[in-house]
Amino acid sequence: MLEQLREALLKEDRQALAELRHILNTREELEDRINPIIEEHLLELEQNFPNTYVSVVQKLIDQRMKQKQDELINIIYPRLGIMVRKYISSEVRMWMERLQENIRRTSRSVFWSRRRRSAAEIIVDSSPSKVEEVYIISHESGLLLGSASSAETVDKDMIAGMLTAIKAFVEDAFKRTDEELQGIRYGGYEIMVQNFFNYYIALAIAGSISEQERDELAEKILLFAAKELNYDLQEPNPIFYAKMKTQLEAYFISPSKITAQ
Amino acid sequence: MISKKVVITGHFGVGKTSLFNRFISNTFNEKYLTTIGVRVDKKMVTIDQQEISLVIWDLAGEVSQEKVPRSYFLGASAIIYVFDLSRPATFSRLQDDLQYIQTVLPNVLIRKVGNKKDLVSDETLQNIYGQTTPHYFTSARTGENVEDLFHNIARALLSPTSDPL
Repeated sequence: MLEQLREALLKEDRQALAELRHILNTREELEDRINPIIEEHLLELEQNFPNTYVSVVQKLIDQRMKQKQDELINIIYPRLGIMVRKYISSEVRMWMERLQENIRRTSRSVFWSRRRRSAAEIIVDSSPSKVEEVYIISHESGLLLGSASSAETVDKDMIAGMLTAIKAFVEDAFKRTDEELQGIRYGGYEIMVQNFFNYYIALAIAGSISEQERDELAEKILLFAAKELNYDLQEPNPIFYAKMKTQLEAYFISPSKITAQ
Repeated sequence: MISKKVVITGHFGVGKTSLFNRFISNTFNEKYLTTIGVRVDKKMVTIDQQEISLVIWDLAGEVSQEKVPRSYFLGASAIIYVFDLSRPATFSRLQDDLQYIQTVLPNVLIRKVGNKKDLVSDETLQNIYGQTTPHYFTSARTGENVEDLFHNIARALLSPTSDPL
């Protein structure tokens, strides 16, 4: 009798409980019920995020930027360089094309199409250039942060120091704070310098180098910096130095070794 | 291995390059050849089995440190301010010069060095010590205290908690 009474009283509850258990244990059933709620919340978050969280996020970004200012500049600097370089290259190319087109139209002569090669072009072809040394040098201290070379040369720390001293002297002597030394030429050698925020990269190139090659190397340096030098580079670090030696060799000394770009 | 930049500076003719040569190559030249711009070389020093590479910048002498290109000092971990014990004019501006260096490099390790010790008497040394309180009296000619000076700097740079002055 008591059992019957209990059955009668609890029947509905038991059914509801079984149904609830079924929903909880069946993924599809649960998803059907929960997903609309989550979606609703996500939509609400998406719509109200700026009002609720933007100041918190902004504060965090500001803090991070202040703490890692040098690191951020080191990341942005080469990327900005690539953009500016691409823009200038494309403008110059367009200007050259327009100029050539004008010359072709006005002259209508075979002279231009059969022009002689300039002496500079012949010299460049006869002595191909080769990157023999690469250095990453701290702007301020002149200490060597990384290097690679195709042969053993004189002390690299000394070269880095002297190069920085020459650079500092030239920049100081001409009192031009907005311009920096970009290269040194001596005989059949050239030292190409690419400046970044707190370091610079110098390439020692043997042989004659054409403007196009110079352009390509400059672009390669920017790519290298953007990809490999996203650090706050101030002090020399032996682990970093060892890593850079391999990377610099792959990029500049034996470029065929580059695998992943 | 750790690398640190050390700058040797001071009035002209005080023996900066002689100290540099004595430390780097253990040589001394009686002829005076003025330094043009700057010379850079390095030497490894071992302190308690720890190696440190001292990259030394030997600057051309100037009457006042304010005339030295500021960029030569940047990034230096230590400054050796050299004066000539036999020429008082070379340490008459010592305080001003050190003050200037400290404005360029606030926490840099500075060593005041009275050079040409072999040219002055003990009495003169006592007098100069009272005026300038140098860290070292050296003689690039005889090599006296030169190694000690650079080893002291290397040790201080390896344990940077020590007092810069």
